[in-house]
Amino acid sequence: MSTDGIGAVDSFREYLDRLSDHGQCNRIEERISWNLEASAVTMRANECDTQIPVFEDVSDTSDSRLVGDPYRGPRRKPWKRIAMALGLADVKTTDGYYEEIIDRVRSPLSPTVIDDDDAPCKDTVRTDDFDLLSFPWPFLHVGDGGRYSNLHTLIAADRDTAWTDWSSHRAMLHDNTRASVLLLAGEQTPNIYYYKYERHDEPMPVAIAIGAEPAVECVSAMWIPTGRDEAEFASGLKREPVELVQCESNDLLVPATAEIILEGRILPNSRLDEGPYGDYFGYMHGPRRSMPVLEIDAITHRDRPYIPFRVEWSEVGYAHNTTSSMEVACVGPDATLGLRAAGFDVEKLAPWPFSPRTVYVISTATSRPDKLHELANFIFTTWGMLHVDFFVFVDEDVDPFNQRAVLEAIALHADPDTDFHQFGAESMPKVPLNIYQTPEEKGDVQMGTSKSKTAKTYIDATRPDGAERRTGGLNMDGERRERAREILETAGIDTERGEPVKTGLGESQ
Amino acid sequence: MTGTRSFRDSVDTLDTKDDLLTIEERVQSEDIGAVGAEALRSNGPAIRFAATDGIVTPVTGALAGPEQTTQSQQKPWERMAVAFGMQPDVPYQRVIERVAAPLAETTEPDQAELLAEQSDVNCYELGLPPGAPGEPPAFSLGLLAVDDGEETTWLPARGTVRGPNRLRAVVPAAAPLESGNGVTLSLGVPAAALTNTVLHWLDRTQTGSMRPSTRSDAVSVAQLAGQTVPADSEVLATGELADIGTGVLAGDESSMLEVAMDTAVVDIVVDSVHHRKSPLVPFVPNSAPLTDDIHLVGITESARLRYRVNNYWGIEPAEWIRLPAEASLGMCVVASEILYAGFEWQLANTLFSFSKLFDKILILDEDTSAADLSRPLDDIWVKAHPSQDWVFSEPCAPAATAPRYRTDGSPGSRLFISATWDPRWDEEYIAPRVTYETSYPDAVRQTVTEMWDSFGFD
Repeated sequence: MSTDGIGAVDSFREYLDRLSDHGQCNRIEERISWNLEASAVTMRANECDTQIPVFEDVSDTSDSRLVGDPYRGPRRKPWKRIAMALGLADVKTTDGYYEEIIDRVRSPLSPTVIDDDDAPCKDTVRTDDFDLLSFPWPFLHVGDGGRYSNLHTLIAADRDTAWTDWSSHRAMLHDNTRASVLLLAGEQTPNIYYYKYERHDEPMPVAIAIGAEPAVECVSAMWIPTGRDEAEFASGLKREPVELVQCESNDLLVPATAEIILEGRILPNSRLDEGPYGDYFGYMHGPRRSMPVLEIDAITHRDRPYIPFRVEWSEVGYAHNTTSSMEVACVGPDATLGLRAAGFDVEKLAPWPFSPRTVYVISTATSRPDKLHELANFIFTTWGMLHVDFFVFVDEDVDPFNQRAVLEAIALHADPDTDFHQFGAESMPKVPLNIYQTPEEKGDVQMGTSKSKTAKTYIDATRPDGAERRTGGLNMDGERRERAREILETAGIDTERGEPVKTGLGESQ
Repeated sequence: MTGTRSFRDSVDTLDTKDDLLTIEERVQSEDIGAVGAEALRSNGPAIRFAATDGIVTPVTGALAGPEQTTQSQQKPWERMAVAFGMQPDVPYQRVIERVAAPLAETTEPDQAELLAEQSDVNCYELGLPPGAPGEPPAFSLGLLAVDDGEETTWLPARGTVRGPNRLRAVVPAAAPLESGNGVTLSLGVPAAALTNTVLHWLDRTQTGSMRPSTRSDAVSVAQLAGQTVPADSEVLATGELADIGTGVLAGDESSMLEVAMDTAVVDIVVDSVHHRKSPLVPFVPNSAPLTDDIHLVGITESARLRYRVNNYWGIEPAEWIRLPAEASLGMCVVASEILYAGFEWQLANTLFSFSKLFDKILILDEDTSAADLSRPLDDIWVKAHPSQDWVFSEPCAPAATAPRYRTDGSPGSRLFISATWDPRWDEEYIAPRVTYETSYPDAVRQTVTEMWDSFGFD
């Protein structure tokens, strides 16, 4: 049940309608080209922390529409629009949002399978005369290697079991029927491809759902355990079954309300260039690399489909985009739950906002070195960690979303002698999406991992046992602090500006 | 030097620029620190408490500023710039150069008339707020002028009121003090007087230099009871030193003064008080984040280090140096040209030699903006190789003073992180920065600019 009496939306376009109803969506009727213009407008909207741009007219040759960074949340509450999509508009605090999402992820529901006739994604079905390039895929940065679909759910069946994995891997369009897909070994779907299908010289059947309903997109960003039905988690997340429908050209089930479904196969031992691409940490990391080839077999879509996209790198700095917002809204609570389920005493895991997927901050009640070591080892061996080089541990009374407090904890409590762990041991894998390795160190990438290894590091920025947080005795008194805030608010000061605070009163935001 | 502002003028200027809030409502003295701390935590303005229990008007945050982990529109040094008579939007480097000016050139202050007049109030009747409930009234960002019979020396000072005619102050331990010395405590002094004095004592205690002077042409001076004091001080308490090094300061945790240098506690017997009409005094909620003393010491130490580093090798490689208040001075961030392979090691260890405050340094490429803290907070994780560019010293280095570990002074390691491009790399190895300008051609940007208003964004 939703907390605001309004349930989760069932489709991406219903989500856009809900945004419109709340004045958080700007439908732009003027012609804005898919060729850099839509991206540039979106980037500015992200920087301005303003409404989500919907581009209703982007091409002479297509009536498809573009949506720029649809899940980008407000700067102080990046999870807010996703909460709205999931029927959680009344949730006020990050802690409250985390706990609600954790509760929902703990409560999976079975999805339902519907007939083709009832599936909006099959408004138009093309199994022969399709043209991948008839859609206005956005060209995002002038230095990019091509046009991308970069906000979608890749659906792939395991070769040897009944399990289907949902994940997010960008695709660079090459011609009418082919794209290259960024598959980085170490993650679930890439592992299935490289170590199962390709070893048997078999194509991997896949579907790409573009503009799937928000619950599906959220689950695609989460770390769902291998073997578990991702559709059940998406259903749990929205508190009602997700509707699925079978593909035209393979047996995969796809979200029935998606805007576009690309059906196809990722071919074995076949590669195409992928990149360069203005990536998520603010640098154009080259060179072009060879990535597996997606061969399209069928395309189905809704009438006048929406194609959502994200402008990567625009979240580097103070702005948010879909990537950084979904990190907070999806990865954060899901990983928090995962660590708790594994028996770790974790208060909260938070992504670092200035460089998503490179460092995470974890608040925890323990400062025991062996516990932190075990926690770090556990995290670094989970999937997706080929991206992540750093974890920072802070005390449970330090809000991991308060970057000033985290920075202070690193500066004042992390002793270079004893609290920086695993530096210097270059024995861990790394994806080539980095800028600190040379092209030679990255090597001739064939499976999305660098030839050279790197170091994974955790920083213990917790205080010694028994040491109190040094924030000024006068500020630890909740009653006094509340009175001070009342005085300021009466005088016209917005006390929710600046850093969030936890001093016994709960979060300020 | 012209244009530097008195404390009163600084506060008035902040008011005209909407960076100061006057709370007309009566606020209990014991709540003033909490209100000031919350204003800082909210990235709020400086606060002037118009209705309090005494004759002084406390002002919090007059030299402080917002943090930059959530925003970059407001700069942490804007109020310091205003205090120096500059526009708040001047580049960081200009503020730093102004603070470091006494290192570059010795100048003499103008002599002027003391603006304060003698009063019959005692120290309690000033109405200074306490650091925390139950503690004695406290003073912040003070200057103690000490007369040793030959000349007046200025010392940074903070402390408490211990009786109607008695003050207790924390001052640099290296100061030549003797019981019976004539002293004057000045409160509400120009920021330039504070930075000059802190600059002198930082340089003296950390690198042994006797330069610069605590006085310069940035602060006009006057004579009072045979001592040289800032002419436009808001409050002055004159007397003589009594006990030296025997007392302790009650209550709250130490300030950045104690972090920055060894200090001693002195007692002062006060025989007269002068103050201006409706005197304004700064007040610092000790140990709260982002307070004036953190900004003051941070910006002064940054200015000192940049001057020293750029006058060390015969060239000026350091573009800027910051000790961010956000990190409570436990980390130094420097943007520098990397002259040759290994220069980053020289640079880091030079900085470690020049300052005892921190044991962590982040080195950035010279083209990194000083105005945007988000860039260092990205580059530290993505640009520095996790093992090759995080460099730890052997564990024999002296303990730094800002961190909260090894407070017994036991030696340990230092760390520098080089988030710079390796000068040995070929040009094609270097990943171009993605920006709005590099991502979109001029024509696209122009189109977006011209059409933006028509899109109808809020």
